[in-house]
Amino acid sequence: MTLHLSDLCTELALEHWTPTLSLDREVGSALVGDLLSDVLAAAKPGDVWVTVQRHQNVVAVAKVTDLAAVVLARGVRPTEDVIAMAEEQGIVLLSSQEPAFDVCGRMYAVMRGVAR
Amino acid sequence: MRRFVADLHIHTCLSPCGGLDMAPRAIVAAALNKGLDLIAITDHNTCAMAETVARVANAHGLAFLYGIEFQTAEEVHVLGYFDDAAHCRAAAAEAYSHLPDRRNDPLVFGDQVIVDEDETILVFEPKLLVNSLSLDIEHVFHLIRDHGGLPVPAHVDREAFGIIAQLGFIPDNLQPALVEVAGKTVPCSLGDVAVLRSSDAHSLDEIGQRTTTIVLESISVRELRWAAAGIDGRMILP
Repeated sequence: MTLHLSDLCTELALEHWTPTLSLDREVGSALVGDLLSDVLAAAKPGDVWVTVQRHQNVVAVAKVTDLAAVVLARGVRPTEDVIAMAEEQGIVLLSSQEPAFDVCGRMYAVMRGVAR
Repeated sequence: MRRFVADLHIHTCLSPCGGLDMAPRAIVAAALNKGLDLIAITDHNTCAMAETVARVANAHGLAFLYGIEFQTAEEVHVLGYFDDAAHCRAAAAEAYSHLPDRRNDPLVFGDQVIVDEDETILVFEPKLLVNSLSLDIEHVFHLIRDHGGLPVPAHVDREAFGIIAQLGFIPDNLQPALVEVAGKTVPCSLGDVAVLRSSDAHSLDEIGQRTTTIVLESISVRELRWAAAGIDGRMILP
């Protein structure tokens, strides 16, 4: 069974900040990190990135590494300029009230089909 | 026009990571001993020691520049340089109001003490100073510039608290006139921005370990900005 961003949004009850962008992209892997240099080094195309880093460079890093989406954890909300930049660059921005640990745990369960 | 051998990144005993021996007279003596002409005190998110060091420095013919090392919400260290004590103090007060209310644990981080010229302890600073302000880097740049200061990303090539490690690259909107580089080489991604080399001294023996030679007419933020841009004879020597 293939998993799409829209499924992830529903399963994890994520908030979607870039509604002009489609959630059709298929997802199968993810990474977590707040050091953008580390994400630049480690991210693979199509990854979902969980972070609490909200600086606008997040969008640029997601763009150059061709990520499927960015999930801001622990109630971090993107600012207006970051949302505008993400929509312009085609980067899906999602958020969760839960800490990165719980977001990753749920995401792992959904992606790998592990029983919760 | 005068040539200054400068170390523009020095901590005092008020920075928790700074040794207790980093007191005003000792810092000035170490700087003179290393042949420095100009120093800046840049404690973490505060400048409460700066005026005392400035007084001692000036009394010994050592030029002084006011500074603060801010820590942004992204955990990037940004130096701010200011024209005088009043501007520096106002910037520090604003930063302090954005510093989380986390107590310092001296056993973990070290003591944060304000001392006078005679090394008598006046105040133990209770809030942990090495912590991120709730201001993103753009706001910290604004804060510094609002107080007439010059923002300079610190040790941009360092893994910890350097802008490139934290943010991947220097955001286009910041346009710093100067950056501080810790290593011997300069990252290619910096382009042709002017570079400062300073010690980031936390102990007396580190003072003057890295220096920058700067040609200035006098000590001010404008002069430093002109030196970065190479205007009217002001310059930063390679």
